[in-house]
Amino acid sequence: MPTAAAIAAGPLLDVENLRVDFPVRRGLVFARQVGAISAVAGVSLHVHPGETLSVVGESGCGKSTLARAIMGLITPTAGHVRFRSAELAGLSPAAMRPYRRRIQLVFQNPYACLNPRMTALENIAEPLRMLALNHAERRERALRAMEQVQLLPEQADRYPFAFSGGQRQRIGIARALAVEPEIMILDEPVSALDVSVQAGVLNLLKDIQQRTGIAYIFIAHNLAVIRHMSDRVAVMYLGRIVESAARDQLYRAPAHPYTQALLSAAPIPDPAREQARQRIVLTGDVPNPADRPTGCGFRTRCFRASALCAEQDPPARQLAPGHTVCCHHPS
Amino acid sequence: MLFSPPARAAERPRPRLSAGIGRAFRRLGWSHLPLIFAIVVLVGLVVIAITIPWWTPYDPVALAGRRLQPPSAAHWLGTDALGRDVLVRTLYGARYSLPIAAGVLAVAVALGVAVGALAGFLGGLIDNVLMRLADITLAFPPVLLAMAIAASLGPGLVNTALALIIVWWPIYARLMRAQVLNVKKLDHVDAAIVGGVKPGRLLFRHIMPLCWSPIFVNMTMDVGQVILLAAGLSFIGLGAQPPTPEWGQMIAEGASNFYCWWIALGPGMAIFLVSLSSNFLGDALRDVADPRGRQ
Repeated sequence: MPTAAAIAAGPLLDVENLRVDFPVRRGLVFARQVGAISAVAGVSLHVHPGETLSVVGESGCGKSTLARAIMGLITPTAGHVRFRSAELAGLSPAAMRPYRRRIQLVFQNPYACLNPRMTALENIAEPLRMLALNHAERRERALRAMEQVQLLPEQADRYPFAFSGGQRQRIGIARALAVEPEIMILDEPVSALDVSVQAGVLNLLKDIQQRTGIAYIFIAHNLAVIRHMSDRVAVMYLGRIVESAARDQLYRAPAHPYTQALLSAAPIPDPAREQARQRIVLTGDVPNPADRPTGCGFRTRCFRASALCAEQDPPARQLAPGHTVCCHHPS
Repeated sequence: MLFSPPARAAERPRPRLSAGIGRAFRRLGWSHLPLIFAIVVLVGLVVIAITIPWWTPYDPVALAGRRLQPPSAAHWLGTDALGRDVLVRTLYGARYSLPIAAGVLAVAVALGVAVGALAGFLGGLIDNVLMRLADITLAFPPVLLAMAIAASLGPGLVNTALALIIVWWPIYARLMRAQVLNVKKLDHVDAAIVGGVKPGRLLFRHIMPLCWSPIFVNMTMDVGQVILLAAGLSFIGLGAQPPTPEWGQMIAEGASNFYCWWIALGPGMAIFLVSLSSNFLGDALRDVADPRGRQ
């Protein structure tokens, strides 16, 4: 949890109205743009130092694209990414480099995120080249990062193929941690892992946060995992954040129909209560992001949709301090 | 008894040495035969090419006996129109054909890989310019282009090699560009960018190390092709000049004495064996080098 002083000092990362549109082109020789897929369609969020903000949403809603846009791996079409009030959106790779040691990303797929031709230690030491360190110092810090994620020093010179998925994910975390960033974006860090190793990695992340005061943007789709990890939760649907609130507030009193449907879909590990659980079953699929519905993006699947929803895009409204929702009919 | 004792050594039949060799062969299996064949032929030819002046009974460019003799005990593959020993000349030919193939491929691959990697990595205008250049070269039939270049540069082995390099580099440029484009999309490259790795190191340490295997495979396959085309240029008189014992040039001499079949047999078999071996080697390398098979 962030301290009150940290919150008063203003957000560490402030994302405002971020958009990522992928152009859809037709024609072979003289390609012209015939439309755009809005993977991220105007996302605003902020993270305070030492805080964990979770972003939850189903596959294809733009979570990973959001992470990549914040990191500058994809150039956002519009909007702002401010890191301690420095604008990051639209920076050239060279101009972005000084910020890389302060904001890091852990990738979703532990099998693809490591360079297969480098040892675990070399992989971890690679970002340390950003700092003014010599070879021995880099090695020492990489070993320390390995220790932080509970990898053994004798594993340092092995190549990635010799590690299990959970171990590789910890190498990925060690690589991000080695430069001691202020914020780390975790793009579904455990979804590719067996349930038995998920808990280990999650608790490790919480430990590290308690020790170092690092902030996380935690991207996931598992509600139980999110409840375990977050201070605040943002729910994403079709490239937008439809509801965000403090964790307990969101789980206790979800206001957006999509959040309600999501929460109702999670099984309860108690047979009696599980029997009584009321499920909200959504019909249909997520609309094509190249062809958004008019008005509210969720209205095609919403059980509370009205004529107003087809006409007007619901603006964000504040239900309680820190609890915002984009819905004409919140409850 | 809770557990059975380990089988004592005395109870197991002792393997004999001969059985060991048999087992090793069975384990390797017939599937490795082409590779063994290829290695024997290629290593053998290299050894012969290096050591031949010390042990041949005849000089490759001097009279060795009567002219146009069919194969005999003294001249295993007979003599040519000038009375030179065909087998000795064929073996000496390895001193020309193998270095040409190696040299042409080394330069063509270096050039092609550099161009392809740059084009794939930088993209945009540079990619377009470099690749259109490669496309222009590839648009010509390779034999025709090599002939035209060799003819305009003038006959000779070095000019033949130059012509072959010009014909060959675009193949490797395209191959490398495609590889770089593929590898560039992988997560670990994004991870390196997030880790602040600068462009040069990104290309050399994170992208290119994963691009080599198809290049190597293609190289071994191309050894035979280069030797064939070099021989072809010599055959039509653009490459090696008489009395150089170059294979293509020797076949040309054989063609003018067509009824003496043995004159072209030696160099023809040599070209055939080298091409076949390099293809076998390429096949085997592809099986080994495929990163999906390695894990």
